[in-house]
Amino acid sequence: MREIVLQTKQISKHYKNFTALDHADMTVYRGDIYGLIGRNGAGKTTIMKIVTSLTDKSGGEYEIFGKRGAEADKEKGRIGCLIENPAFFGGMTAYQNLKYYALQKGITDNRQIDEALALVNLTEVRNKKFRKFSLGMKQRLGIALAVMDNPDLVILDEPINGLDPIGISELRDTFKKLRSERGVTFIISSHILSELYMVANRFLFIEKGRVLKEITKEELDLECMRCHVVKTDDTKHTAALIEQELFITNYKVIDSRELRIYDENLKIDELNRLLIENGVNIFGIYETGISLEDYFKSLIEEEGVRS
Amino acid sequence: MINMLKADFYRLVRSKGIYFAILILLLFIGIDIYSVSPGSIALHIDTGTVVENELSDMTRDELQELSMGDMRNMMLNTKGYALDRDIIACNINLYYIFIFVAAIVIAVEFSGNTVKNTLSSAISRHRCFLSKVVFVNICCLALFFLNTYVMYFANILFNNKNLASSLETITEVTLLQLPPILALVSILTGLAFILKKTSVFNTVAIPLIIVFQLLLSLFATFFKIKEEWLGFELQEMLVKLTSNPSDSYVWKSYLVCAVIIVAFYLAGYLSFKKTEIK
Repeated sequence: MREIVLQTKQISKHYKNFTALDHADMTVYRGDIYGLIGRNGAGKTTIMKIVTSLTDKSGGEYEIFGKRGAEADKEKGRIGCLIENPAFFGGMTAYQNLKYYALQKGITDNRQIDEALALVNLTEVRNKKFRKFSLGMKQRLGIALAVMDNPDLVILDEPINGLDPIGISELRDTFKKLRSERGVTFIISSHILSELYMVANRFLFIEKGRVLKEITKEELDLECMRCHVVKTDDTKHTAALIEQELFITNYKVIDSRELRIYDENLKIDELNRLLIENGVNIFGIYETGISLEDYFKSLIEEEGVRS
Repeated sequence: MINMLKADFYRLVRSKGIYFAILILLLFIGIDIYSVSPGSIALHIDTGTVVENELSDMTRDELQELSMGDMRNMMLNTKGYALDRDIIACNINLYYIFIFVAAIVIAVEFSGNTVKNTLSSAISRHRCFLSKVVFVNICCLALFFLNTYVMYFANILFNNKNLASSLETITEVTLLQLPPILALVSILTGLAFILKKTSVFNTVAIPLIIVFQLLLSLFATFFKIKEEWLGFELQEMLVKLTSNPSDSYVWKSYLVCAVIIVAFYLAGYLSFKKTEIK
């Protein structure tokens, strides 16, 4: 069984007249690159802030590396993070800024600072003052700080903001490298779905503080893939018919009223006839296939209907 | 805690602000030593010292016609005047130097949101608060003692030796002032944690002493407060503690300082603990 690095249970955050997070559950396993997807103000940053103790939770609980409460706080040393905008001292250089935090964390080996700077391609500008950095460079320095002391879990809030396409691609490779070489687990938030899709293996969709769905990449692929949606009153019988009569195995039963067929050679008229002849009530058969953005939109719409 | 102190020291020595603060401190000392008289930024300071020299017999008009050099020469001839002790009595000036320290060490962290980098690592708010308090106190005390001894030796070096007290006396007077100095530091530290942003902190901290004195004077006038009670205001305390205070006064004033210290640190800590870091 995979080790759980972070688990939140019914975690909530309320402000006076506003609920930023509403009973959110999420589970992050070791080695995951976990993508938090949501619009601005959805609650992504709030989850991250609670886990990193930058704000208090109003309810629920969370475990970090299997520890709760005060014990979990002790495990915070295993977490590196970049929450919201990277914040450093403008009058100090990139190296001096990292040195300041290295001293705080008790890091005595200055090579770790050099390595972190090299990892985000800031070695050449290590002696440049932070205030003279571009947005992308600032972002990269924030990531350097997050990974400087070889953490087991790295939490990055919108890390690709301000990065150019090459920078984004390099960063993606860095995440994958750290994951494969050092077994680092990442939680990355973004509202740029396509970018997150390219790097993450598990996703959490969140909207207005409520978790819409927690899903693996494989499941997401399946959900977004082009397929035929069959709406019937008996998906079990339908499944048996398409397997036995049409020899199709590439399908998925979504619930008691919906089934999705991913076989490209499916003929709708043939399927329609088969189901009618066998007394299955059909409410609809249609082709679908959606982009990540559309999938996210559909989740939001579903949530809207439910609430 | 040691790591936090090391880090803060690393940052402090790379900040221009602290050198500017030391420069101002030395400038204060230089002016006091050259003019052979203590100066104060506060509203009103009466050290109670009566000097007897040529200046004592002069009228206001005559005094106004004198150049600073002439005044200095006349002051140098003053007998039985402990300039160093008088300058120490005006240590309320250090409050303005301490503002630099509190701003650099604490307020800047909130203004730039850099405190989130500290708190999101393994350092708890409690530890962060404690280490900042300790570091600000260490820095302010270092400046406090630097002020005393630089002034003391500069007075001996550049002025008449007759204007200097003994090293023991000056050390004793300095140590007597320690509690009110720590109270001043606690006010600034507490305010920095409560107000957070550097601009707000500066806006409140800079005029605070003068505004407080003004309000106290008004309060004293309207409510006829006993003169004795006014002696427990921090500026008055710093003055009175340098001029052979009674044991009873010393202990009462230290009690007031203890209350101030506890109140401001508690308020600062509670505010910091509840704050959501952006």
